Amino acid sequence: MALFSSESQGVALVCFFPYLVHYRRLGEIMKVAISLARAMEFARVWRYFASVIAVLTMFAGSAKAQTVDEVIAKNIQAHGGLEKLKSVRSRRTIAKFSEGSFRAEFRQENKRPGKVREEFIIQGMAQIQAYDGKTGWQISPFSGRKDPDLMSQDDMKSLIVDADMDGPLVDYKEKGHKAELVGHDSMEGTDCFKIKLSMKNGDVRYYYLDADSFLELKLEIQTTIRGGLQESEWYFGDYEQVNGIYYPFAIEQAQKGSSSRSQISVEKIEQNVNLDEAKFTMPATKTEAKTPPAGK
Amino acid sequence: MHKSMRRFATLMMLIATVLIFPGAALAQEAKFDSDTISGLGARNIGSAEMSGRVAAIDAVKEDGRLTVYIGAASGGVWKSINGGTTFKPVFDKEAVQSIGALAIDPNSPKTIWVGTGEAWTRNSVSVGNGIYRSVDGGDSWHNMGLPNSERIAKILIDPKDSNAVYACVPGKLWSDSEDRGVYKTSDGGKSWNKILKGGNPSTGCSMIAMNSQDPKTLFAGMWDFRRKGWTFRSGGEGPTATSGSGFFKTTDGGTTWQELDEKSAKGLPAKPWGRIAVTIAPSKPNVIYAMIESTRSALFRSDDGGKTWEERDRSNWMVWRPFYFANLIVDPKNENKVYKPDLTLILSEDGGKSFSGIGNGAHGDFHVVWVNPENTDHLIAGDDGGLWYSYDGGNTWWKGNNLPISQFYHVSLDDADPYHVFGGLQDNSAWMGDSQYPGGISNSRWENLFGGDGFWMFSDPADPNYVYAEAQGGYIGRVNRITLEARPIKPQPNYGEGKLRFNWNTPIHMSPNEKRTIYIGAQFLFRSRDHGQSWDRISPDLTTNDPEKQKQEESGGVTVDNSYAETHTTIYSISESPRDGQTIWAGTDDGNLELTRDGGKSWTNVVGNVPSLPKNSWVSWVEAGLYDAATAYAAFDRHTFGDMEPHVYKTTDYGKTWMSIVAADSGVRGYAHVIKEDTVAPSLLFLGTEFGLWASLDGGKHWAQYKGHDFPSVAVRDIVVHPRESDLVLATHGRGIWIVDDITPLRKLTPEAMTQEATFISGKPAQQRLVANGGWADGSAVYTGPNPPDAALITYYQKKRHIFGKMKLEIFDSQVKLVDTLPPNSRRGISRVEWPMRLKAPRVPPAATAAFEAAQGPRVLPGTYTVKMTRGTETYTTQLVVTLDPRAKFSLEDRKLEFDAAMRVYKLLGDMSFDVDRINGVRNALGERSGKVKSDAAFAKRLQELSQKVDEMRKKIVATKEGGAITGEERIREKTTGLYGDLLNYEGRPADYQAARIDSLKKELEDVEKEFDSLMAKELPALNKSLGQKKLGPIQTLDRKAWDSANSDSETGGSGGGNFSRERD
Repeated sequence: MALFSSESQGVALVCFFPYLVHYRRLGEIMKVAISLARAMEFARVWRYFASVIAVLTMFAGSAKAQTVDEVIAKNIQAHGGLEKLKSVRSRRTIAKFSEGSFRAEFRQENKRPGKVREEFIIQGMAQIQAYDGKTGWQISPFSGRKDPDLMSQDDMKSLIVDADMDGPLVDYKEKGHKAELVGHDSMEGTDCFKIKLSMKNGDVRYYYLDADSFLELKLEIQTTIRGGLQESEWYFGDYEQVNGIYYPFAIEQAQKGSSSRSQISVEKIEQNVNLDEAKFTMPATKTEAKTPPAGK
Repeated sequence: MHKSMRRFATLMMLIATVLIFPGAALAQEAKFDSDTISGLGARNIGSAEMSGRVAAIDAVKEDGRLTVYIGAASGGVWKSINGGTTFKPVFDKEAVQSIGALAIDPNSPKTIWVGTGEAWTRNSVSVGNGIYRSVDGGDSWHNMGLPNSERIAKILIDPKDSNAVYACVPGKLWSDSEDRGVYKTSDGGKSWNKILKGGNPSTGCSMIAMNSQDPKTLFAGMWDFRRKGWTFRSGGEGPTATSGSGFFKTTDGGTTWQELDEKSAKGLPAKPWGRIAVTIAPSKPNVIYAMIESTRSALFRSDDGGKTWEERDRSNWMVWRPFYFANLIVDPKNENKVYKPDLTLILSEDGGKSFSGIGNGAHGDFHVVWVNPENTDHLIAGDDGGLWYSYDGGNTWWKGNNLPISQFYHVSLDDADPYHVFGGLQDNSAWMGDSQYPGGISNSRWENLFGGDGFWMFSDPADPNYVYAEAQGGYIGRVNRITLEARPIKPQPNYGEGKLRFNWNTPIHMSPNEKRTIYIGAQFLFRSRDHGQSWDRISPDLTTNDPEKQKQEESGGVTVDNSYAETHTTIYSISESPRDGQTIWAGTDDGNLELTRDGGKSWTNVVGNVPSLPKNSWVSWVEAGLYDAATAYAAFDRHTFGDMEPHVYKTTDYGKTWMSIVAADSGVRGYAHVIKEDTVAPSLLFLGTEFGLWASLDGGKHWAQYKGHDFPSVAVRDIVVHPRESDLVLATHGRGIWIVDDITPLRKLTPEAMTQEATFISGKPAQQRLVANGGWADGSAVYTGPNPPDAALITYYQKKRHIFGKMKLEIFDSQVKLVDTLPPNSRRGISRVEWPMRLKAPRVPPAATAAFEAAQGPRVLPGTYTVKMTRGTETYTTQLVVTLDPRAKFSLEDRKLEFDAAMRVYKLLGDMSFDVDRINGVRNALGERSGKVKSDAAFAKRLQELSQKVDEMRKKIVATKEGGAITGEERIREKTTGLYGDLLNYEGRPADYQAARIDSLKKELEDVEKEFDSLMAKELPALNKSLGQKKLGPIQTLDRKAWDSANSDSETGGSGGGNFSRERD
């Protein structure tokens, strides 16, 4: 999964910097590097924002859904309906990431079919990961190297999932996933439907859908990277509507078992924006840092 | 979403709610349950250093890697997918944490069976509630029945039929029960048949073994056993008394059984028997080993499938404590290689004729060994000190350092800052640990200070260089924390007097009124005021002194076992009233609740006043009220009589009358160990039982189980509220020490607050703990307990989860300027959000590398801040007080100087960013124009040359050598961010040279600015004129005001620092 490449990126930074800075700063740098890795994880689940709902489905929603397909259908209905979702051809999301005192800007751009670019920006430098439907690549500029690098199959596993604009629940059968309704489960005191999604790529996801609204309130992701299991938990809230589609504007994420969570606050979601193909294609040469503001 | 739309959505939701739940719109009593209080997170500080007892292990190779499951005696199931490098708990949501057996389905590595309730039936053993199965590798579990089994010793799965599963159920330890024996399911656990029952209601199954080549052939050891508070028997009441224990064989999957004894199977010893262990050699199933406890306990071997037997080894560790050590493991490839876990691990390589100890270096008291079938030199063993790995067949051992399954009995705290945690553990001595430490509470932050089994332990309030600690049976010592010299100070009997009866878990109590006064209880209460130099006996025998309960020298059944674990008719709990030092309570294990109000001159047994309490109920806890000398709480633990329910009472009249404070329908589960009042709110109570922690906000009328941060249903044996920090510290028997940081919000969670849709519940003032780094890279295979968050905790309550619409928290300073915005947590009940108390990071100009030392803002100054929560259309505010760390050696004035210096550098970085953006702007414009004047080569060249000149100036400000190597290039930016990082790392008065350095860096930047300005002044007018002639727009440098406003909202860097005012109160 791509996010763990960014985690190893973090580790690389930690290993790198003791030569550059006084050891007392190591702790801070480690924190930042870890936060960076965490932040990139957010990117991994961003397409999940496609999970949305119309408030009015609540009226129908409280009726007892029995099968997993019924629950997922309610969820998709809640997305605003399949037609509405499919009408979104591209999307740009701008958000703020925070973990402790570390803050960054996060951007994600999606374009059909199956393209995604994610940027994680601090101090005018952007960590980029992108997938154009064939190639996954990244630029990790923070230690001075700004050339694009190929991502390994495992590292871009979740980037490919991110490239699925509608999220894995939509057309899950066609996508080769298997879904199972585990039953009801209380999620921090709120009654939820729990769905287990066994994905074609081997990942397992547990969705907790609010029993009233069918909105996703929590997602647990189990992904296997180089044979090792990585588990994360995601919490969703602050649902708001953008052109008839509901998106969660507040997300929290934690490594399973960890007491600390990082947060993301969505500032803006634009749909059907013009996104240049070049954004998703691996550049042949190094990419310039963020363009400085033009003089007049 | 547009505001009006949001209102519409909210309205629709309300309508929907009313439609779905008629009457729901009316005010209703808010729920008080687990989710109400569990938003207060907890942290497990370990430790995995001493770890705790492991009862069961199984492992399987999956995709070439080893998956290991561990069954902790009282700490749940743990799973590793990397051969033990890391573990995670996978059983934390279940109702019990005691594990007796684990088995991976040989046909399906994701199917795991777990038998709850440990079968190593020592005095402190916990209880289970049946057999569980997971079909997804431990992600989820289903209770598959046998709910009254209480404990399960072994599970076997037919390798040819996953639906055929056998469970060896010893059954209840403390009472008669028919729910014991060998059970079998043929339908994957839907239904169970008892296929072998004992001859009496105290005989269950102690071990079963299956012929792996003929799975319908099984051997079962049936065990007659019973524990009482004062005695234990393995077998009958004595070595030669009648016992229900027996040895059985089936060849038809349990439909019929043949009993094996000295008559039917030649070579077996004469009955009566105690506990039996049995195993079959996997590589040669006609070879069977059995350890049979009898008056001639020994290992027996059969080479003919159980028809005839031969006595083999009967050395000390073969026959030692059979109730606790009755497991045999044969090497998967070699039928003559046999392991027996015991006080040490012993191994025979000659078919059981002789054994050698191979557990050197490990803790000892082994219970289980897993032998890797592919590499039989690779062993994983569990003992009372955790998990051990050997790669050379048991000659040497690696310790597992990542299982915080430690079994504390008690915990106490000192008043150091940060405070230390003290406590003793089952078979694991007495330890001191840190409650916080820079870098985390690693195993190395715990120090062993005594020996034996550990119980009560206290820092000496009169001299913090000393601690009191004890081992089993009242073996108390006073230990120098620096030199570790330990002086034994156990009271001794008088001339001609019989034994002083000290409990296994002998109570030690520190006077809350006199720093030098310490109590210890035998049957008499002893008090010392001189650190144990002398003891005053301040009571008569406070127990029933029932001679029938003092026959421990006869305890053990077939094999005598008198280790203090059954010593009875003893004082078990002591409490001096903090309101009146003459009022002292003492509770005994045989059911007396004694009170003196004259410092020990006279005593009254008040237990008869406790309503509906059966006689001789063990007083597990008595606690004098913190607020009133007449008030006390008492918990009675009747599990030794087979009653697992909590019995907790309160008196407000010195014990004349008592009322139950845990009603039958309270929802509280498990026998009660400890009841505590909060140190501030008298009606806030905490109750620790065998199955977790419960809290009541109303003096016991309602209880809710605390499950913060997945706190499991583990035995909570002791509870302390730190009076200064308001932290709730829990001693669990199976999962180490947990801390709930700052429980102030629980004190303020009134019924009125809970009827609000949302409300702030303020915590204690936020300290800005000193900036410090510690620890080191320890790898993945160690446990490190987390620190409290390095942040101010903002706490609020919501009646319902917030799902729709914006919710945010904003922090304002005393000038009502916005300092920070935080994304809140939306959960129902209490929520907690961490505010790092920092400004935005400074804006830093882009350069070759990121400047991570400038990736955070300066910490705000101490003072009072306002927190505003916006939730839909509603807003809420509260005040937050921020203080210096009391440990700081610098003053608030120093801190202000540091803040000012940091803010100067912050501003300098903002100026620098502006300068670089300004230079880049001109560069870009020059580049853009030069592209448009290609026809005028000379002019284009002039533009390019100017661009180069300008870029040279940029290169004076920022490092630009890219490529990802250590360039060592330092320009003004790199020097400035380094200085900035230094200033943030120490919050006291900045050094003079640092202040001077700010000035010099500022001047260096100004030099470049001047150079740039003069170049622009010199070049731009003429240049712009030429551009105008070519119909191209003029080049202008950026305007600072416009730049500031364009960058003011950036989360990734404040622009100039001028936006933040400092606190001055």
